[in-house]
Amino acid sequence: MPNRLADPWRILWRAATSQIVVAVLLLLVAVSLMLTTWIPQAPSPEVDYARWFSQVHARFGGATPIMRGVGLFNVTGSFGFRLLLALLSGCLVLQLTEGAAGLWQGDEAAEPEGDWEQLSEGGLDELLDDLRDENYRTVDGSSWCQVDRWPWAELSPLVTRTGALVVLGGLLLSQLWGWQVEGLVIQRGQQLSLPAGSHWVGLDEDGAVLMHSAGAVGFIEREGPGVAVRAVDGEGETLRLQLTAEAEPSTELLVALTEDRYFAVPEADLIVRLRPQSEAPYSPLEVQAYRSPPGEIIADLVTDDGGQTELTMEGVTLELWPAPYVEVTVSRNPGRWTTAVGLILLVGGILTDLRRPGCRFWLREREGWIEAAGRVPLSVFAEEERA
Amino acid sequence: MSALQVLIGLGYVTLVTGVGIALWSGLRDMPRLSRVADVAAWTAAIILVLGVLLAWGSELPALDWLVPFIGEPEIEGPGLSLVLMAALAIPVGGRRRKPHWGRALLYVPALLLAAAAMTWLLGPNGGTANSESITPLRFSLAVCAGLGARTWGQALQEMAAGTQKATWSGRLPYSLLTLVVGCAALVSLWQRGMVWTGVDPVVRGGIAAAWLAWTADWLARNADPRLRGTLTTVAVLLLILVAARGG
Repeated sequence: MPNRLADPWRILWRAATSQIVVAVLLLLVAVSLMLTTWIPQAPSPEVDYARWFSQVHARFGGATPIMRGVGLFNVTGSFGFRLLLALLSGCLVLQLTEGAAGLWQGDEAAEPEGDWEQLSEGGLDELLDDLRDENYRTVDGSSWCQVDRWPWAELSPLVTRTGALVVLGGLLLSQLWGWQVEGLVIQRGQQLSLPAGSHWVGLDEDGAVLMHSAGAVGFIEREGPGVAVRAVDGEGETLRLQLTAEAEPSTELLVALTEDRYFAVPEADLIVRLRPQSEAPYSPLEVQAYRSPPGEIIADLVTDDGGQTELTMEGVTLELWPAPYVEVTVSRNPGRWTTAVGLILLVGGILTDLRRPGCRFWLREREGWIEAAGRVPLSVFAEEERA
Repeated sequence: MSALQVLIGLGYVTLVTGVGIALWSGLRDMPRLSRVADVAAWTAAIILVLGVLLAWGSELPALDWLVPFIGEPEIEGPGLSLVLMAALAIPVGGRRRKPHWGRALLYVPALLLAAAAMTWLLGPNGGTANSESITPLRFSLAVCAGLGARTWGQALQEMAAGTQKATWSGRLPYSLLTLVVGCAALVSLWQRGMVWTGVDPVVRGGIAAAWLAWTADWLARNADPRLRGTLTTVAVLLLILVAARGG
């Protein structure tokens, strides 16, 4: 017996399959996640990392380098957090193995565990009948009776653990091969190439349907005002427009009004400023036109809702019509369906387990007393109290 | 001070009275008085729930007619969530036991939440309108946290009584929280392709941490009552913080 107790593999197995160890690991993961709510987490390097770092440095001062070294600014990406998840996965795999074996062998009565304790006076047969009515299974042993809820009560923890492992697997796939791009601004008829591979996202010509490449998922975070612009001269010739100094001139511009925007009509020496009156997609716009040089204002008006207007000045007609923009988040997650299946299994398993928690205990009759061993559910105590 | 603030204040005073009576009946061993305490606590719960539902409901177009009677709802955000949590934390029904001063502990979480809500409502932010409106996630979290706080009261009572086995289960709040968190994760996965994106990182981390703490509490349900009580306390406090912060 002492040799069996001292067997390190047995101790390790018992620790790894213990509910308390899993509970402690879950608590450590919870603490790590709570840290992310208190300590600002680093954005991806291309998203204004320098500004974020200066803000963090102002808040934490000299402790910033130490905190960065420990990985507190990237908790979920840190070695410690991943180690916790790996340990949790390992424990779940071992518990799953043990649970599957228990389910397989649960058909037969097992040896009683723990000490026998007096439960109540009375007839064992009546109590067993009541327990059977409550969907307990009873298996006769040599001098005792095993009571449990095999196989369903053993199945729900297995489903829960399988679900948890599948969720962790899905999150790993997402971490390894998934990506997400935030804050993409597009207008109708536009199609943007994404940095990752051959993926793209776009809006149809009506601006109503968000389209994307297969495997990607697009989500419209918000909509805002925007216009399409065209300019013609007095002879009906279309003039070319330029949004920035580096941009190629074109005969029709799409302008997303995330802020005040300017564009030039180089052939007519005009600069036009567009200022939305609100952030609503069909907001009225203030349109100001300047002669360049010398920069004098030659037109200033506020349009109707959506920016629809036609403005003529010095022989040039500007036509504006609404083209609201959408700000989109696009992601690709190879573990999407894996995670979804895992979540369904996990939630289903937990709810089933909560409704019918697994239990196994043993009952026997000795000198007019009912004795019990194992984990007797409180409902059985209550029933005996009522009796 | 709006009619709603008066109503919520009345609920708080009734609850304090109920706790006082429960404590007195326990110390003096007066079972009849203990029933009076229960009635006072239920009355407080009804008043508080009514106050919250009126405040939130009057924002619905169908209940516009209520506004002339109760005034514009000026209480929003954490204040109302805390009131709802306090109302749901008040134990209703349950097994009647011998009067004991520890019975008053059942009401402590509700009392603390109601006190926090009153502090918020009477503070500088309490009387001002807030643009944050109730969302399904915020409402669900407040319900889970309120029921969780009720479990905490049971845990405190049993720890004070020195029971050998932890008999509080926390099954209802944990089931609801699991459903809420699971559904929110699935919706996020379907809409955005990722789990829990598009949510404030503070709320996201808080909800996940609270659910993990509740899971740990459920796994340790057969542990020593003091250890289990500590776990329940941590899990409930986390959930209350997250629910007050909002979804």
